[in-house]
Amino acid sequence: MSALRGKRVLVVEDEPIVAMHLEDMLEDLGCEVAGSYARLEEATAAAAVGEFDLAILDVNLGGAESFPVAEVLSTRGVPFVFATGYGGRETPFPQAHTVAKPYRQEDLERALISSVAR
Amino acid sequence: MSSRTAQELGQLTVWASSDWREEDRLVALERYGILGSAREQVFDDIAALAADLFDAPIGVVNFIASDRQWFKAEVGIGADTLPLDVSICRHAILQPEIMVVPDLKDDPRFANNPLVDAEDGLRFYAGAQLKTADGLPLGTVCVLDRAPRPAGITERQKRSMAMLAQQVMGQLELRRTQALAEAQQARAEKHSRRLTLLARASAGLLAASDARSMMRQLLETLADGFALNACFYFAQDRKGGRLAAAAGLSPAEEETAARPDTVQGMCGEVVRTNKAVHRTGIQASTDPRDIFLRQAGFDTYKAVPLMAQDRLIGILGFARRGKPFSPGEREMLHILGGHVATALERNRADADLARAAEWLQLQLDLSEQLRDLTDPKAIKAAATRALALHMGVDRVGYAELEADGLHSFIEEDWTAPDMMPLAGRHLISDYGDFFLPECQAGRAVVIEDVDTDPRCAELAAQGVYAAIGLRSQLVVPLVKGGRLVVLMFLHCSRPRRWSEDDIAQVREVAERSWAAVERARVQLSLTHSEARFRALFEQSPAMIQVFDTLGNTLQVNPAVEKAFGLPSDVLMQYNVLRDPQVREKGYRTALEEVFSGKVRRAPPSRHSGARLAGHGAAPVLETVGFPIKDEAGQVREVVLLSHDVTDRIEAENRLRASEARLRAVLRAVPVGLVFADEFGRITGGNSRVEEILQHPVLPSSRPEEYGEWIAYHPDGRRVEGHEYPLAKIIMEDAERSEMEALYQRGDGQKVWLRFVASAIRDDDGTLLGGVVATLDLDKERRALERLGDTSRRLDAILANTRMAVFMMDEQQHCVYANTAAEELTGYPFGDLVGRRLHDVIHCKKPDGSHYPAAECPIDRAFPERAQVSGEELFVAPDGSFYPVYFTASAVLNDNGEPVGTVIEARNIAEEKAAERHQQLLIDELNHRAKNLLAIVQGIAGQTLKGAEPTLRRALEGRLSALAGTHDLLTRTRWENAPMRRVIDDALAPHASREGVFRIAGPDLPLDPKTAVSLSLAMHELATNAVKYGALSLPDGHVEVVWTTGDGRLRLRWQEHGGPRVDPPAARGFGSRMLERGLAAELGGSVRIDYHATGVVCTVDAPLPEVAR
Repeated sequence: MSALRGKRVLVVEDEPIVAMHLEDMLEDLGCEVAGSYARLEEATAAAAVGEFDLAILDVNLGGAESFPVAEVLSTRGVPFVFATGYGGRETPFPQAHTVAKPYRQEDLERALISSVAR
Repeated sequence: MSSRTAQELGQLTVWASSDWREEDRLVALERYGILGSAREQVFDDIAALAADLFDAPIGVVNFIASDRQWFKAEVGIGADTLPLDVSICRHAILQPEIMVVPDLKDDPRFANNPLVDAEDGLRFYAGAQLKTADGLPLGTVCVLDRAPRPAGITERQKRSMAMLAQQVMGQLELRRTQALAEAQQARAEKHSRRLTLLARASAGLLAASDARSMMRQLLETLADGFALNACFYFAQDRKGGRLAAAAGLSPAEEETAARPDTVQGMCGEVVRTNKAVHRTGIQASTDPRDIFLRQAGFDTYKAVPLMAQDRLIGILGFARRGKPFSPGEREMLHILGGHVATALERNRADADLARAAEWLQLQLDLSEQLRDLTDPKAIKAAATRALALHMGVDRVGYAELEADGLHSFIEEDWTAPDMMPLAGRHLISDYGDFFLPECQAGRAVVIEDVDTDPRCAELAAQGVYAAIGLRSQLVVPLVKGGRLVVLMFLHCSRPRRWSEDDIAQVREVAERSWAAVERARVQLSLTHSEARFRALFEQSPAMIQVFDTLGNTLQVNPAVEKAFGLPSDVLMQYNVLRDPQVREKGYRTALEEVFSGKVRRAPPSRHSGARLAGHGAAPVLETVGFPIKDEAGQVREVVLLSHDVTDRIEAENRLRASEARLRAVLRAVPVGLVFADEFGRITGGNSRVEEILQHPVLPSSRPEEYGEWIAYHPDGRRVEGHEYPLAKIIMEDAERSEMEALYQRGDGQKVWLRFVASAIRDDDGTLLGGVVATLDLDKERRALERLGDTSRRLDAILANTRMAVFMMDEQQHCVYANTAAEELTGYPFGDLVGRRLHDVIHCKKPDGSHYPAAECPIDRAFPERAQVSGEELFVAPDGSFYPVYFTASAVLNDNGEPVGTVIEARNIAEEKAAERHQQLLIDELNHRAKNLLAIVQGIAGQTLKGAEPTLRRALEGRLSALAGTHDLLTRTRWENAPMRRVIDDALAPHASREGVFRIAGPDLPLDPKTAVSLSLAMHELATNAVKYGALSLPDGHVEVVWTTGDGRLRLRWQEHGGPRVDPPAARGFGSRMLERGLAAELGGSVRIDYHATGVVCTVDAPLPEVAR
């Protein structure tokens, strides 16, 4: 828990209910939700300028893939975790953890801690 | 006064009047500027007059200031100020008009006044207010006496008093008006002095012949008036700003000022904002933009934009060592900027207009001259001369590119009297390597001065340019159809600047004049070619007829007259379109197409020419027709070229008939026939011979296909080459020779054959070659027929199957491929036969690298004598790849030796695509299901917000277990999931360390529903164990063991090493899930026993159907 306390997290998730739930989980983990976006363009723009310690990206954003956001975050050195309903699908970012939807708080915590520790 | 406190003073100065406010009064007083002014006769006279009027010892003109009573004039006091607390007049100004106090000692306001109370103090007071037009009292004119005057004053005295007061006010007003007028005058003079300066400066600027003297002039004019130390003029154009001139700088400073970074520092902000910039305190500034100004010792810098129609055309800079420019000075400098900009722009516009007019004149002159010229050389001369005079240059010419693209040729150039002509051939790179690439790209080459242009440095040093008197040049290339055609060059013997307009104008002259040159050349060459054509027309052995579009003859050549023996005037009557004898359909169509212009050239068409000959045998003509079109593509004339081909056709027909007969014979005879030339080389034959020999014999493009002839004499001895009958004909000059031999056919079989050879000679008896007949002596016709039946059936199968079938010989060379194989590979059998299949359709890998045959699994079948199948990628003729499923089987002979391979193959591209598509759908479906689960989780999470967190955890855990099983099923495509995996996956998230779960049992396939139920059951048991059971203690573990036997599945979950177990009071979801859900799913029984030592769950159910 301590590793995540006070971390500013960017949430990118296009399903509002899932996003709300995810934000609750993050707050339970002591994180601060510094931005929550459902659309690729907005998320990419926010990723480029916002101050984040880490990010959780839903791979599929209403048909588009969230990889451009990940690209921006990579360039800025912000660690991120993918969330996806596609079991075991590869992403172009081998360094990033992937949590399978639906995820438990423990799964999320584990993925976030190891991405921060990197 | 010093002993009084501020508070007391304050109280004293609070005045009360219902008509005015003290602040307004003080402001009004200040406005007259009277306080503290020197004594003036006119006021002194009034004070004296007042004293006289009342015959009083004291007369005063005074003003009540905020802190004192001040006397402008007085008689009998000898001071100019009184403290307010002793002032009597301050009371007077609170009274209307005139205040009279007959005895001050009797008035409680003044009785204690030290001036009154003293011995020989003041006793009488009369004062009139000094009142402004708007009623504000400023002070009084008053008289005082040391004796009381109980009678007060007369009405006359009162009036005089009032008049004196008015007199004072009149003087005050006069004073004030004068002061205002003087101040205005002073300001106006200062302004006008500056304006004059500006006017002089502007006039000087515009009169100056160049920017440098302009700046000097400016500095000279403004140096005193504005305390200027330096002026700068930065010219601004499309390329940016540069220092055009400066004044007041040392040469070294000027050099620094011209550096781009300095210019940027001094102008950057103005360029960006188009607004003036005023920088002050430069010596103390650390702004990097000010470095130059600081180092040059300036303290103030003002930069003014020069704007022309919202466009920045330059910047004027002013610098001085002194204080900042005042607002007035700044305004003047802005006005100056406006003047300069307007003047510069007007001058430029005038110059543009003059140049445009001059240019128009040149264009008109040139058009007129070019119109009348037909000689290309004269056109060039006119254009170069006009351009030279217009541009004021010393040499102008055209350098035409030669075919090699490296040399140019100058036919003749225009030169000023003392310039050397450059006519002749030149290697372009002799004048610089940079010329050609630029020109080929269509870009003009501009060299202002060869001595300073870095591109010219090397050649300039060698004196190349000096040798031809060249200092500056402009070269404009003309590129037509992507090819550099000609360079128009303008040379100057002194440095010259070339503007964009210059380049554009030269380009236009170059293009127009060159177009004229080309037109003239075409005209000339047409004249030449017409003469050539005329000769051809007259001399041609072919018949040439020229028709108009209606088919009327326009011209015929002598060959036509000769062929038909008719004079040309008769032939000229002929109309080809109305000729009823033109009846051959092909010819007619061809004619129509030519006349309608549909074809550029009608192909040769043969037709009867009898219509003109009129007698004798009809000649056959072969005619080619083509339309002659004008520029708009309209057919103007039609030309028909004809040859008499009657004799040729007869010869051709005879030859064809004889060949056809021979072919029929060759096909019909039951013997194999080959023909050989006089050297024994086979030139032809029938197909039967190859059927008999079973190997290629007849000439083909692949000589390597000639099989080796292997035959044995009846005594078993191998037949030698010279023993064959054909060899005897060719080499021993025999007429006929024959032989029977046991021949080894191409298929390896040995058959008895008879060869009969016969010589072929011409009429003179010279040997032309030989013919060999081959007869199959095999008597086992029956067997042959049987074989024929089998092979026919086989043929039918092979021809109709959708499976591609190839047969390979022992060399892995293709000997057979069916229709499906041709369709699969895209190659006709002819392209495959005799070749290694691998080399044709399997030689490349998708990454483009070579696929060695040694690695090919298809080719392994033969050496391994086995059947091999699998998937491979084949290469289509167009280089693309397609997936196939193949089976390669070795073909063994009776001795079990491999003699070839049969390969079957099928294109599985569609199956693959369908499979991929299905996978995609499954993935998507799974994704959606998982998303749905995530949403369910979200909804539940939101719903349970604030509730017990364990509730949420429990739900998350269950959903996660469900999702995990879902994943597993997706991976197994919703068919069957292995039981072991289902259990492993369900328990893995609960394993806090190694060995927590000890799982053992045979792996069984489970159908999807059972898998989901079992997974959820395992999750519930594990959750319970972690919370309350064995896994809540560090040493606890769980055994999960199952067996199959008697067609039943028995699974046991046993917890060890946990705390003491008490049966739960109520049954939770977990136990209900197990006892009802799983039991129902399995169709068996599930029992949960809460033994004190640990929970035991047993499952007893029939073996799932899929596992049986």
